[in-house]
Amino acid sequence: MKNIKKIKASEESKKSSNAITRELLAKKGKKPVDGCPEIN
Amino acid sequence: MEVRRFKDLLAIKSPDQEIWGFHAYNLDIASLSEELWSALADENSLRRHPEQLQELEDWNNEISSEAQDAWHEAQDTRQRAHHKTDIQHKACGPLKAPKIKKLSLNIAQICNLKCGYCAAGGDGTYGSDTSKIDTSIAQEQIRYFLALSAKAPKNPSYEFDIRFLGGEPLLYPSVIRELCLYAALCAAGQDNLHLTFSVTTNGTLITPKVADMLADLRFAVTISLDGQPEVNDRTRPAKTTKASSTIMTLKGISELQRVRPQLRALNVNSVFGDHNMKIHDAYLYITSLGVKWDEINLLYSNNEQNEFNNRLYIEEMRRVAETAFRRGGLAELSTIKQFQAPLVRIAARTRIHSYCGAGKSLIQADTRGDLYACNWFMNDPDEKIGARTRLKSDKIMRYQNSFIELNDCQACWARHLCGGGCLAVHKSQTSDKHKKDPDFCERTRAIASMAIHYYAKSFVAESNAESYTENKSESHTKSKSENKNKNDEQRN
Repeated sequence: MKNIKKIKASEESKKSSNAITRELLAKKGKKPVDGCPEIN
Repeated sequence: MEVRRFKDLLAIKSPDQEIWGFHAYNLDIASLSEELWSALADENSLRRHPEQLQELEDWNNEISSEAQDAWHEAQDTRQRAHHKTDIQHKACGPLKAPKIKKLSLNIAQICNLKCGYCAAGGDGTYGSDTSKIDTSIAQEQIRYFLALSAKAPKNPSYEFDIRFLGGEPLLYPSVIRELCLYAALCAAGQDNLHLTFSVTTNGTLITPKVADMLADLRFAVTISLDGQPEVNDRTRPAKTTKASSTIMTLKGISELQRVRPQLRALNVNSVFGDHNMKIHDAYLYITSLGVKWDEINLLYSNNEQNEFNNRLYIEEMRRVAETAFRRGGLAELSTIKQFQAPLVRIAARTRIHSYCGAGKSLIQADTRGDLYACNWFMNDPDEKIGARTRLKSDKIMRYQNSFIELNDCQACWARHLCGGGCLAVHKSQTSDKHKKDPDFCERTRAIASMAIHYYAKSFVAESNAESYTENKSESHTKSKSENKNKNDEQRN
């Protein structure tokens, strides 16, 4: 697709994607479960 | 942030003129061309750009196997009809019983502070005259819900969290300790159970002894603090003294810092609304305290709709995001709970179908032992779903469906990042927990679009950095070999 370039297209991007995912998941634990961001 | 929509796709134009696309079902992110953005201006414009229209149609119709559903949907063995329409959404089949993994106990329905915006009846009581938890009923509930979760099928290992709320729960630390030890006793021998404890407190009563107790039991502690002392003392004054509540809270935080390595987490909650809208200032103050916060919750809570403040909240959160991202990229941004939620869902490509676990994985008990799906429903007779260990099946089953369906959110692009919204906020603004609060939806979509923007920005920056490094090392290798050749030539 000429006008839509998915960000995970390249291998380099995939590496980046995994790094970011790992970083975020490390914060939250393995499962991105339901939370209560509005009121706790 | 300007947004345009095509079916289940969202296009976002950032203030820096970057254009991102977001697939609401696959949680895919793309970089979009300026031509495509222009084509999305309106329907006529799209008709004049058949190539762009076809690309949008193709992307919209994709179903990615990489994106998955959140845990309670993923574990669900129900057959779901998969409607692939312009608005993609999984419709739910017959309902299953809840899998409770979080029991929230109100230790005290009384508080030593008197916050002007208190949503717990104005004084921490939720309108109840039973100020202290009935320990024997709480023990019965701990035993029952722990045993119930252990019986859940296909559960080789599982977590169960007991959360202590108030009022101010640390008015009765010995009761908390007693209940934790009782829970540990009930869980003894269950190797596959990971039992955890958490508490939300104003932090003013954390003595060295209380901090040690929280550390010994590896608590996750959430402190309520609204910002700088002059703000926090005004919004969260002590009930019976003129002493600064902020000083007391900071002393408590300092005690927690002493035992920080033993705590499971240390979080902070700040509440904004008509009483205080200085969110960016509060963020700067909170992050200047020298505490490594696991989560910073900058939540908006108003008794009445206020369009102006809602927009102000969005603007302040935009400033907070900018500062956080500048300081530490996605890692720093995802410390802020409002951004963490969509970021984690995008990063893990995980769709949620319900905003929270209310009535599905979470049960709230008040001081009398009455049961609710959420702490904000306490003392509301319409929302009572049981008492002691008896859940009313008709009431609890109503919570088992997807909140996206219950709240009619199928057409929203942010539905799988939001999960249908907070039932308590909806009810407080519209008197019906399934009738959406438009202000809530507006700020949720605004924050989700900021999260998409920063996720994409970070991604592209990293890719560019990697390509740059590779090119650099390639050219470095090239120049090294060129030099080697030159040297060889000279030698020859």
